[in-house]
Amino acid sequence: MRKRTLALLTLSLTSLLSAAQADKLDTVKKRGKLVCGVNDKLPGFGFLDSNGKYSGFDVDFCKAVAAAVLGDASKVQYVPLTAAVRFTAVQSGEVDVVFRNTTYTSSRDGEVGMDFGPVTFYDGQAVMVMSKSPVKKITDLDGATICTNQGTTTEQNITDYFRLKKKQFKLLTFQDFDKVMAAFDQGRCDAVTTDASGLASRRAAAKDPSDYRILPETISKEPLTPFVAQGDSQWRDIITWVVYATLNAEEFKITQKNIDTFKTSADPNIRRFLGLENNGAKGFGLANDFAVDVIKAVGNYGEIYERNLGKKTKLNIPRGLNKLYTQGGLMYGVPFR
Amino acid sequence: MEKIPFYRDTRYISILLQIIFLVLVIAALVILGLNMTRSLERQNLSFSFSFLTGPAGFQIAEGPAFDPSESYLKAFWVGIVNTLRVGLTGIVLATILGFVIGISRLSSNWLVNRLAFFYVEFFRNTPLLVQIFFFYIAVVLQLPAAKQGYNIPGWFYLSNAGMTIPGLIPTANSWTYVLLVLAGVAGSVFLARAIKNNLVGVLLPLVLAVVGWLILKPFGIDHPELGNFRVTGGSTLSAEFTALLVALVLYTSAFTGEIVRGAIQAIDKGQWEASRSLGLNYGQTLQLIIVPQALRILVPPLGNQYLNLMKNSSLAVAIAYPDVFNVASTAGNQSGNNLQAMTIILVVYLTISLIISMLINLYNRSFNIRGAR
Repeated sequence: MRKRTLALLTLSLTSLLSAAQADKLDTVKKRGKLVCGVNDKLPGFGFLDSNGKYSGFDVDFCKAVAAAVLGDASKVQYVPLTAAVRFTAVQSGEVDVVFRNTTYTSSRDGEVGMDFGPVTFYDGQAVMVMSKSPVKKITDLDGATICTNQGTTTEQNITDYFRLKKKQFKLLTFQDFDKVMAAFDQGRCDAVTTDASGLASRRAAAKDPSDYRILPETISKEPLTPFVAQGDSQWRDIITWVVYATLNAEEFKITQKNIDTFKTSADPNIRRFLGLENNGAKGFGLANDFAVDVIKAVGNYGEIYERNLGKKTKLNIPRGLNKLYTQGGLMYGVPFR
Repeated sequence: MEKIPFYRDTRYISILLQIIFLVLVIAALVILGLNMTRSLERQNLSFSFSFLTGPAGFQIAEGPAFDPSESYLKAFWVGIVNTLRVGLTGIVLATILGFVIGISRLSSNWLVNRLAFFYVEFFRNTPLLVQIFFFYIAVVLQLPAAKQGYNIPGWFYLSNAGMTIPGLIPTANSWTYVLLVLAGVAGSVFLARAIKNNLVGVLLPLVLAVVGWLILKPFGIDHPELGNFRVTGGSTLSAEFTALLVALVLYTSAFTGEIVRGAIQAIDKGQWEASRSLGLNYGQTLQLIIVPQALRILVPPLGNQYLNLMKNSSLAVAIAYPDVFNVASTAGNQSGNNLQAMTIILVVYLTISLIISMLINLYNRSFNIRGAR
């Protein structure tokens, strides 16, 4: 009797330990849901609206991964993460993947223990002031108080910038950007800084966007990239290829609507993309036609962009570097072959 | 008679239960530890504190001077100093205010009594975080911005960046001056006692201080100036520090007030009556008879409030006051050493709490021994 209890206890302990080691793909499939870390306060990228629905550019990529892995874009559980807790959430396994305006850096890849996918958005850090402020360029802010959120690359970038230009400033860091904007609106901060896209999003969401002015300089490179916990290369491959699928689709001019018409295509590149011929996706645990599920769920990269950030949206962020390489941008879909 | 089996023998059961409990606790710790090590290993991470010596690369808005090129260790130190700054000031103010509130709660004046009652109920029953936000966003930040702030140029500035007054710049004579003044004060007190004239004890140190200042010129005065964006120079009480301090003091003093009231009410009614019959008035009774006895009851729970205040100061992170929790979360995030940063936070708060607790216990013991027969 006692021996049995002990054996049971040992068994449950070992299973408790090994459960954490199972690979992500199996965990997600077994759970039947993708747990996706997102921003919930950045309209256009990741935003929780008053109906409790998440939407945005990053959110669409969560849906794309769910479509690829589970065949259903709605099987996503969104977890709102602040900048300060996003890496811990991945380290502890609380979320499977994070799509949340996060800059890919060497220390995050190395010391922080993250593995990054392809860049989904090329961004750069900018500074925003009130329209009525006399400031024309960042160095005019000598002696000013600048606010941003905590645990971001922007803290160090702005510090570096002012050190290089030998100017003084004071930095106040808040845990979430709503508080940053509250302090900014009250005049406690003379300027706020974060990625240019984040500033555009904040300005677009404001009661009167013309109150704010974004300064022309970009002071850093901010490649925004999804990330997963280090050490599960299969899972990282999946994230990587879901992103590339959206880019390839745009290159092939395959959209959410017209995808079925391509089934009869004679182009072997397109046939491999649609999984009509082997493309190696089985190697990372997905079906050969996973890209079809992805495109049917969210559309190609261009569609995702236009829907969330494009001309018809409030944000209206020009595509710039985020155009396809064929149009002078940096976006390049690695071949399905 | 049949022998009682050991598992029904209360003598053994109590020991057995404790052993089982201990085993469970150890097992839980081992599981957590193994789990942590494994997941760190899986992600190729090591649990090391070597990052502490590297340059921090971020700025800290207030506290001891800090340059971004200095180490993470120094950043943590600045955070600790900021925590102690707001915590210790808070403890002193909350104690004073708490005594006032507690005594007011017992006042026979209806208005004073009711005001204290509403004060206690209001601050005790609303979340501290909400109060902090309230004082920060709805009170302090509502002050005009730096350029439009209230001011006496060169001497006093009040804006939503905080309050600035002239600061002192130490010179070579500073320490000599401070020591001389202290010696002067001690001497005058001694003299005043000897000649039984209190006026001498008050006036003499003042005269000494002024004369000494004129001769030694121990401190330069750092006049604040209004720059392009904010006030520079002088000493500033920042908006963040003020909001946090006010919220902590009001919140804690509500609890302290209740402790004071409870302790006073716990004193036997006979003490009041005896005191009254000796001809002492209300104030004298309180000061000479009641409070000294109430202190014995209220010191241990008061100590708990001090610990709470210290720990609650970590809510500073919500309003950008760079306390140790704020600095540590930034450091942990920037360097990717979240676990280490959390460990440091735990150790810092544990150390501060144990020291406060020890001091309170010492104070309490000295009290009880004096009171014992």
